[in-house]
Amino acid sequence: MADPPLRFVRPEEALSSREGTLVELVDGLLARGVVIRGEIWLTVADVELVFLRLDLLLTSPEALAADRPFPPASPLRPS
Amino acid sequence: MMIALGLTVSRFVPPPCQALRCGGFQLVCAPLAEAGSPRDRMRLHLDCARWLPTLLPFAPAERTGAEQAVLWCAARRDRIEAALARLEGGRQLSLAAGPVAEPPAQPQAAGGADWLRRRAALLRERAQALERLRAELGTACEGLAPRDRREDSRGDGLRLHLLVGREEAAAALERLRQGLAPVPGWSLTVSGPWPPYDFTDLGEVA
Repeated sequence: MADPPLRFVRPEEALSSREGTLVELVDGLLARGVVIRGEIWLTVADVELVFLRLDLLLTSPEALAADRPFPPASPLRPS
Repeated sequence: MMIALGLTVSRFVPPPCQALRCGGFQLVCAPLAEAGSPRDRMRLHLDCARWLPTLLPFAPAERTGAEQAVLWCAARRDRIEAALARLEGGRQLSLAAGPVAEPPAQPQAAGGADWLRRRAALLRERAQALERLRAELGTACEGLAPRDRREDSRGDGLRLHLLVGREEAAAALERLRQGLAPVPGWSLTVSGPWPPYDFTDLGEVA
């Protein structure tokens, strides 16, 4: 059945619907929001298909260099 | 096990959710039995959004334990407080547009150059159609004066997200109902009010 040209849906209605367009609409929102660790379940119609765990490094290169346990190697100098 | 759902400034959250104090804000969490799937978590977000003026939601697709979330929050309190202040009472309205029908099948190309030419023309047509749609939606949203807006184009479609105040959401939807007309060739779905899923960036770079 073709999608209507214009419609308004409440979130609860979209969430409980099995209709393709509304399932897609909800699936599009599931990955939005604050992400803490990048553990993502890719789902289609509430079926968890793929699990990804991504550890993100949230820092700048300067901060990363400052946090390193060892200082960067210094160039060799003649003794 | 408790699953973290989001952050708020309110101390009282609707059951089965619970609030854990985390500096100047509260971590909203729920038992795994109630928050096991992404849609369970989204349903709980909607329940919370009915009661709590402000909710900074975690992505429903992500399942994070409350202990881990507390540590994560402790490391970025200032950013979270700034985001909660920015989102105060904010709700999201989403306009999703997709083409009504698949484009008609193209006749067989005469050769590689012809195929490239046709493909370039098709892409140009799609870009123009999206631009016309963007203009139509922009006109319909003119009077709403959203606090913020985000756009997300995927494939042939377009999604426009508006951040409006909790109190203004119903009036904004009514205004869209009155002012938004069907756009030929497109199927439009207006939904909301949602928690502000598309407005949760904390200013961190991954």
